[in-house]
Amino acid sequence: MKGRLVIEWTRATLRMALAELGRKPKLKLFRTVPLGSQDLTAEALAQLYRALGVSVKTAVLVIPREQVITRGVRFPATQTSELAQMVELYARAQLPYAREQMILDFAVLEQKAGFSNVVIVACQRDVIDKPLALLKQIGLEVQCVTVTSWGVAEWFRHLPKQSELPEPTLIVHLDDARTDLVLVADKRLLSSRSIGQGTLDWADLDQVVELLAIEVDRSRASLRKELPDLDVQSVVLTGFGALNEWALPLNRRLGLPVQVVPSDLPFAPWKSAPDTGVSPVVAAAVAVGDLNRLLHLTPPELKGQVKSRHQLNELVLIGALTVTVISMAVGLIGMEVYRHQRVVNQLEQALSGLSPQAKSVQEKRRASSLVNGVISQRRHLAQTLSGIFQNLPEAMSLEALNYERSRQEWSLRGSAASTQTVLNYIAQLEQLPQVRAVRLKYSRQRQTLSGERIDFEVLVTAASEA
Amino acid sequence: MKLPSLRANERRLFVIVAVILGVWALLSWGIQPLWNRVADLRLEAESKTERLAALTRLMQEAPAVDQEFQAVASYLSQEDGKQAHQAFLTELETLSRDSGLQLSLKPKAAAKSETNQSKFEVELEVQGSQAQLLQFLDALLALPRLIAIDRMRIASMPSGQQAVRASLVIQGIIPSKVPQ
Repeated sequence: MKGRLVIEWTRATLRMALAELGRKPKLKLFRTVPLGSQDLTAEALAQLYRALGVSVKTAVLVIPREQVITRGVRFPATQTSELAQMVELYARAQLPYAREQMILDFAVLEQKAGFSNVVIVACQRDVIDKPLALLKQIGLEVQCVTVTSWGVAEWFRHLPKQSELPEPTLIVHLDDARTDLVLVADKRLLSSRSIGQGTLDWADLDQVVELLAIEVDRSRASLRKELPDLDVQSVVLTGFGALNEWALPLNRRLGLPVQVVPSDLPFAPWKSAPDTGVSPVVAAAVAVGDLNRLLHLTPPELKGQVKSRHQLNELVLIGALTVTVISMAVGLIGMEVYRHQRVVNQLEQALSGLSPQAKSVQEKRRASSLVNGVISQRRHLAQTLSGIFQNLPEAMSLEALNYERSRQEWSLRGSAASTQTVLNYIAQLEQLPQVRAVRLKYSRQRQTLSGERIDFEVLVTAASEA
Repeated sequence: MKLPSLRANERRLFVIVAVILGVWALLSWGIQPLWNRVADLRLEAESKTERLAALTRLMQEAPAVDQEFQAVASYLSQEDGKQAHQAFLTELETLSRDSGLQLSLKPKAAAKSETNQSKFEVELEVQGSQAQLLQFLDALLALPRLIAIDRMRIASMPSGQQAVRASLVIQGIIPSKVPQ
């Protein structure tokens, strides 16, 4: 399970909320432990963490609103980078802490005509360092530090029917030992206050409604200073206490609509146990909420670590994806090898089936070809020889006839009555289809007892066999 | 992935190096050899397909080849080289006797074996009239035996007007046995 653990560290209790993250985060559990008068040790914290039985290694830390200071400032800029520089300059000059001892963040409330109304939130580093050190000792890395007021605003965002109330809405979040007063409009936090008293502190008090009304009036007065154009239009009571009893008197006293909203309403089907004695609003809302909408009082070095861890995780993810893609490619090529191997095997089988018969046919063809070749050669020889003798004139006698198969050449030597007879004979031989060329090698006149004779030699080149 | 006692930059470097090494290993020992194997198999399949196509074509021509083979089967003696040589010499003697020629045979080397056939050579000399010689040659060339005349020399003899002497070098060819 991919989960988010939220630790809300208040003066009186330590609360842990775990949500299962997904497309719609779900709250899985909520635990609270009273801190008592003594400081919480790492061992005790580790025990609490182990008791949760979860394997989450990172957490979001929520610190109480009363441990931070806020300033509403109007800056002549709208760019976030410019605003950050201006906030930095303002903090160095106007806030009561030394810069190196202070952690701050800001949220833009309104931007109009090139100006931005900004709320600057700051706290002393010590406030955050102590819980961070304890959490680090038990092996939990804090990915974000935020403030309870932003948790309350996040809770309001998760309400199913928030649009029915006129805005701005003042959320009065009553807890066991503290109370948050958070003004929201258009899903954004405009102003926040907190008081260090809660339901348990007012258990024996009759005038709780009057007390709450005074605090609401103080919040309205504070809002008028920071944002003069705005006023509270409705009040939401939530948290822990006899809220339904106080709602109507408060409505009469303030003249504003007052609505009681159960603290676990946005986390349905999850239900808070009635005997916890604390409000799950902040821790649970941060657990299921969007961290990007929260105020971040995370120390710069922790931000660096978180960023580095994110980069590392992204790098590992990219690496894993790359290796997966290449592995898939290996798999695909492996399948291709298998497919080709199968084709080759099938071809091999087909060839081995055909080969003996094909070899027999080939040998028959070769034998036929050989026989036909020899017969053709013999026929050619016989026809040439026949042509030589048939065309021999009576006035000519052949004395010698030579034949060389390798040269395909006939040599005819003899004598004739005249050169013309020889030439006629040559012309006759040239007409033979088996003859390619006839050449008179020599002719020589000779005197004999019977008269003049012409000795000759003719070279006949045979035509290639058909 | 837990990488203890390493700074953030070192972890990043470690992961990058690990990824690069992993990718290199997969490419070198996975993709490259498999790719080469695919190329080899493709070539092998192509050559085998061509060979199969050639054999199939040959098998389609088998009836015609068989018919042709049957037509020349009488020339394909079942004798071996030595027997064929002896038989041919006997046939030559018979032919010369029938033609009335004087035959003299010159001994030659025994049959030589080649890849698909064996060969033997016979050198002979005959004497007689021109008509007898032509009758002899006619009969020789009509023999149902695979022979080829390599050299032939016919010369008239000074003793008689019609007497001729012919010397021939004949090559006998014996194809290797063909399966029926």
